[in-house]
Amino acid sequence: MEKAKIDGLQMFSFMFLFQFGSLIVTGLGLEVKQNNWIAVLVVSGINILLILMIYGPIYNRFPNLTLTGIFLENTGKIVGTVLSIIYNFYFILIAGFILRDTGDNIIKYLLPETPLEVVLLIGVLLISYSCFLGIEVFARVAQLLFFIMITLGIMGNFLVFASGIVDPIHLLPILEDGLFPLIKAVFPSIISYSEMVVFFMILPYLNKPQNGVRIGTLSVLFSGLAVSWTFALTIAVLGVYGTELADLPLLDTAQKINVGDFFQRMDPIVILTLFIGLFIKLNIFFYAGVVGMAELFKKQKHQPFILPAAIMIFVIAIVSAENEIEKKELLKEKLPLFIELPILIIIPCILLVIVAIRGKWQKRKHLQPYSKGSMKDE
Amino acid sequence: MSFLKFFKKSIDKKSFEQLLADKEKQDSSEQPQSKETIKRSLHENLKKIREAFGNSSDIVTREIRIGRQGEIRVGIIYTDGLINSEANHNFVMESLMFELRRNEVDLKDLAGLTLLNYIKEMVLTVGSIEDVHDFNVITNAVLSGKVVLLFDGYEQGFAVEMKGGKERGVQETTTETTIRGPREGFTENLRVNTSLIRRKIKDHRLWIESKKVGKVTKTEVSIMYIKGIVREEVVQEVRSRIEQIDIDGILESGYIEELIQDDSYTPFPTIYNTERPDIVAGHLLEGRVAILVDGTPFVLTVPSIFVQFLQSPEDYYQRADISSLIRFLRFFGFFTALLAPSLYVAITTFHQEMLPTQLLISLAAQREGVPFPAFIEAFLMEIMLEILREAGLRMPRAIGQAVSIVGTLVVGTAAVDAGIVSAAMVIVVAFTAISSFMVSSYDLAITVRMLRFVFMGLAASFGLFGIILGLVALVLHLSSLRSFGVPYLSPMAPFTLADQKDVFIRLPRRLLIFRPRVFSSQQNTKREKSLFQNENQRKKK
Repeated sequence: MEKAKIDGLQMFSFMFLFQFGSLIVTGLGLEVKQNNWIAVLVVSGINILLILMIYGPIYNRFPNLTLTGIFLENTGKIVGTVLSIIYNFYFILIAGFILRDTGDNIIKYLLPETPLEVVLLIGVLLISYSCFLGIEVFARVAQLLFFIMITLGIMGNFLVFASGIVDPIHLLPILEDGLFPLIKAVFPSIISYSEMVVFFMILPYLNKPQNGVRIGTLSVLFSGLAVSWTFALTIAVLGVYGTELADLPLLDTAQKINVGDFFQRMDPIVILTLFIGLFIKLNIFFYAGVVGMAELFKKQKHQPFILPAAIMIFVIAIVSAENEIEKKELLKEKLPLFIELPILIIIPCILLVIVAIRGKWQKRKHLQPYSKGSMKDE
Repeated sequence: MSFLKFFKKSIDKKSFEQLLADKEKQDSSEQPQSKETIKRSLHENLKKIREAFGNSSDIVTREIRIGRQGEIRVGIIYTDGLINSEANHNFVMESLMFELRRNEVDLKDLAGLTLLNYIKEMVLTVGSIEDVHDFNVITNAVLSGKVVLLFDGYEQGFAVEMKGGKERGVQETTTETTIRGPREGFTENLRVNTSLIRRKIKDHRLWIESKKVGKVTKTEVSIMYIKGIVREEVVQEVRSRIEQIDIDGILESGYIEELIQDDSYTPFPTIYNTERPDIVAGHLLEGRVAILVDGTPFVLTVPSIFVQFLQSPEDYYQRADISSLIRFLRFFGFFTALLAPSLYVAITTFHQEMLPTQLLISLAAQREGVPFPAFIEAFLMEIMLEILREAGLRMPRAIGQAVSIVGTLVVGTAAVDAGIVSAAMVIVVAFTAISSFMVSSYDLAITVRMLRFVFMGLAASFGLFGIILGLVALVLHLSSLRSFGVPYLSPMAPFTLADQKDVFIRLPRRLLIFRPRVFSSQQNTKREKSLFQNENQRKKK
């Protein structure tokens, strides 16, 4: 772990952009047609539940430790190391998938004739540079990007409404079959959006640890509302059919903007928004993987681990899927059930039980709540 | 960049440390210089001094006799041209040669004083006199505009302050002009410069510390700050960084700037330099430290942040609303100067669909006969522009007009008529050039000129994606910079709400109650009256 401090607003920017980036790119809940904006709210609600019931209590008990530290502390050296390696590999893996996804999108919409490898390579260079500069610098940039994102969002909304293309009729009927079929329909992909586990690697830098859970909850809430609003807007503009046809519905919406025959073709705004979200998300996963590795090897500096991690995500991005269909199958079906369900939900649950039992046991021995100093005393 | 530093450290840490240790050893062995005290015989002393200066023609060594019968031989040594020779005649030579004779002083009975003390206290009608015993001190004194007096039979002499000689007077600045505001600019003389600032800030808390820097040039470097407003750590840091400078010569404040800046591997200026006393006074009042170097009119101020390079002193002299608007315009100018050609290249090469159809057709028609791709076209024109600009700077003023005529005719009209470049490209390049003059600081303008080419390269290879990527990398780099502990992008990142009053906009002075938090030690108000009120309140607590 480096010596750095992040303030509350910066952490909020991280989490907001992270969640926003995850949710906005994918056509989440298109199975439920015009109700997908409710599906987003459901996902956010589940996320908030996860934070309040599982991640939050663990974090409050160990506000100074990364995930690796928590595992080593609670599950013993061997099991802890194995779990940490699994999690670090998971972070790197996800970073690789996101990189691939970003690269594919960029090639599809911006640079149709550029080879995938070149786009991936400069992406890897960028995130390596940002990781090299450290979390503090990255947090400042995230904060700036947050303000830029808000501005872009307000501008985009204004332009859409000014174009007179919004038709709320498309949103009806709301929840014609009730809530349960909706949850059932979106179930496997819901898990993919519960990636807040990765913030265990960054939260220890927060300058006021007591606010950690509150910041997490609020950011998930606000990003959920923002994405839900955007999805509803998309449906209202494109209609259900148009949204289903579109690969990136938001992009199609932006293409319909026309104010006074001058403000047309606002795709760059959308691409910029998507890019900011994906950049932050990719970077957080990458940074988490790198720092986790550094901590496993008990090194203060994480910089030497950037090169191997960069090579890994580059390779993962290239070999993960042959084509778009294979990628979709991988990201929407295989990944959530076989990797993310245990990693994001089952193992943290077990960890929570262990932490709770150990906490009780320690309380009986009249020990102080955990802090870094007290570890040496034991 | 910090990349290099990091590799240097990690690859051969041992040898690097070894080098440092060796260097320290060398330094310590050099330090103890042999002290040579002056001898009793005046003749020997003068001979030695002449030898030390290699009989240089501007070093005057003159022997006179004083007293009623001329019984005491005195040597006068000074550098011709560095001293005020009129004052030297009137107050040193005349006092010594006439006063002692005219008053018929009995050298045996000098009111109870020794001869030297008598001369020092009752004869020489000058301001500052130092005793000297050492040859090194004498040489330094002679070279810094002092008149040295040596007396036959005494192992002591006097160094009399007599600085003078020809110097440029206070003139209007040519590099930073404003419509409204004081006209005067700094000169090459350090004393004149400090006095210009003192005249603006008449407060005893304005402190000056001086130090000689440069082993050969022995240039005087002063740091200036307002005690109580400035942050002590910053002053300490400036002091220690100047202390650490190990160089033979300082010829301009640029030397100091390069030697004390936080990060050498960045195109961005992290130390502000200016020729205007009002800017320096403003910065001092905000709690910054000014570094003045003898021999140059450019004064450095630290710490510096990014936005101040896009601000002008005039922002504070004009009405707030107008200044705010002009500031916006300047930020817009900054981005156009940086991105206009690359956006043109990216859009015409990769994203033609973004243009309205009419414009696209007109552009395509213009480009029909052009033999180069857009990037090469833009690159050629930008290079041409840079050459014109640089040529205009370095040539005699009389030929300057010829450059602009050739420039406009050849680049503007002939190139388009010949079909080498499109007219749209000329418009873009001209717009870029004009925009880059909007950037108020010359240092930042140079940076922008350089980075423009990088962005053009990115745009030519990756289109808009390349530009966005470049911008993110640029912001990352800017966020990683610091200037004397202050983050370069503050107060935007890290975000300080209270300081936003004076960044993109300038609020009316009535609302600018507090000093910027990033610089000053306390949250004093900007207005003097309340400054003292605050101090009193704090004392009561």
